[in-house]
Amino acid sequence: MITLDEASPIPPFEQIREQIGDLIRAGELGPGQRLPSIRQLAGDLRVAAGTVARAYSELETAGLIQTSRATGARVRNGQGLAGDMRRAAMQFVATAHGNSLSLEDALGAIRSQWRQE
Amino acid sequence: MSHLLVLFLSSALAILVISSGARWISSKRPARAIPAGSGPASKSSENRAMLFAQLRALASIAFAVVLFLALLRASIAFTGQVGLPLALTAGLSASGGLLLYSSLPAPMPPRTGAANASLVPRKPWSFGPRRSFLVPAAIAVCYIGLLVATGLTSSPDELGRYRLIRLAEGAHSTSAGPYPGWFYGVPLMLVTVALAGAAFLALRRISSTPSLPDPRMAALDMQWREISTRVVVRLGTGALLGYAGGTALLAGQAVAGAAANFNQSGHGPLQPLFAVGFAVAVAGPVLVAAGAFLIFLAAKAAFTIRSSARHALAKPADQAPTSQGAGA
Repeated sequence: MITLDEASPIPPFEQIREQIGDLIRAGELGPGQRLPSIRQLAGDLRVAAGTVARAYSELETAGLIQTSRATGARVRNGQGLAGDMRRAAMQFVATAHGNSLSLEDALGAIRSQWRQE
Repeated sequence: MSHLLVLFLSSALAILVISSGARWISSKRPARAIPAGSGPASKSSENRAMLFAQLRALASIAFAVVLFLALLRASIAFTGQVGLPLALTAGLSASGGLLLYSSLPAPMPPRTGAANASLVPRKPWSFGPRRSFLVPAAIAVCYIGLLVATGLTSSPDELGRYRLIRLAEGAHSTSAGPYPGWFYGVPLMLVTVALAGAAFLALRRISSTPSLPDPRMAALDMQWREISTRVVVRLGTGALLGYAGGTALLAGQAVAGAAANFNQSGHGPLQPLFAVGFAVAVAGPVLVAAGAFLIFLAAKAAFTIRSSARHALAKPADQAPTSQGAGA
């Protein structure tokens, strides 16, 4: 399930691209898994088909999915994060929740640490 | 025949006008927002969400009934077509109802500030068990096979129309009819194809309709799609069984009649042809009754989509029907 926040300053295609990309990297969308058609996702999210098409196009450019006219969009192999990365992320999120951090605060902590490394 | 063509064109125009009107109304009327929350969705918002699913099914059934009555009246008035317009009436009416169902637009989505979507693809066959689609497909194939068989064994009448069965041995021959030869068979095959196409379009409409806006209604969204799929499949299967039964009755009667008349040596009806014809003729009404029962079940389900969906959700998880469909 993905959610589109109409009040967000982030463009809709970017929200779609980001959430699907995250789900692929987290392994929730496995290799070879089919994604909904552009028309279905656009209808459910109440956006123009072009918005979803652009998100799919960027995901394909990033190598996360492959699209074809015959089979639609599918998750490419080997795009999920390694198991230890996922475990570390789960542990980090649990700690962030324990400290009542918001998502932005938690990401800020990662960015800060990232720059120091 | 030109009167029948006018009636078909009028029906197509009616479908176009009704669907365009519904599209215009849904685009003009401001959608009422269904606010998302953390608790269970209210009964009124669930009812509102289910109303469209029920209205669409009811409008299609009402249209099919009206079309059936109009075509029946027109086909009775026809002379010289030896029942052909009458034979096409039921299939064309069911196809018209299903076409209207597939052409009615989805309701305008309400603006709630946030929209949710499942990442599971929905297909026309996602909302029912595989056998529920294979059975009508098998019936359609068998029915077309029966029409081809009766067509190949048919003979022309005095006007060259292949609607008789003729048995001949030497100088002795006898014929009986009406027999579902090419005269009836080719239009019936076209109606079967039209019915299958209309059913597929209706199933595609069910799967392509946007999901309900409130994520708390995901189970309800699945329920209306499953019930609507059941309605369409039962309607199509019922119509096909009705046709197969009617054709079997006519074919069986004609074969048995010809075998009974083919009494060249005075030893009674020609066997085993008479027995085969009799058995096929008896099977016909059974198939028609089964088809009528399925159509009754489809109409009943269409009238109770709202209550059935809610009732299914109220069942404990272990009693609820297993679903192979995609989540919405």
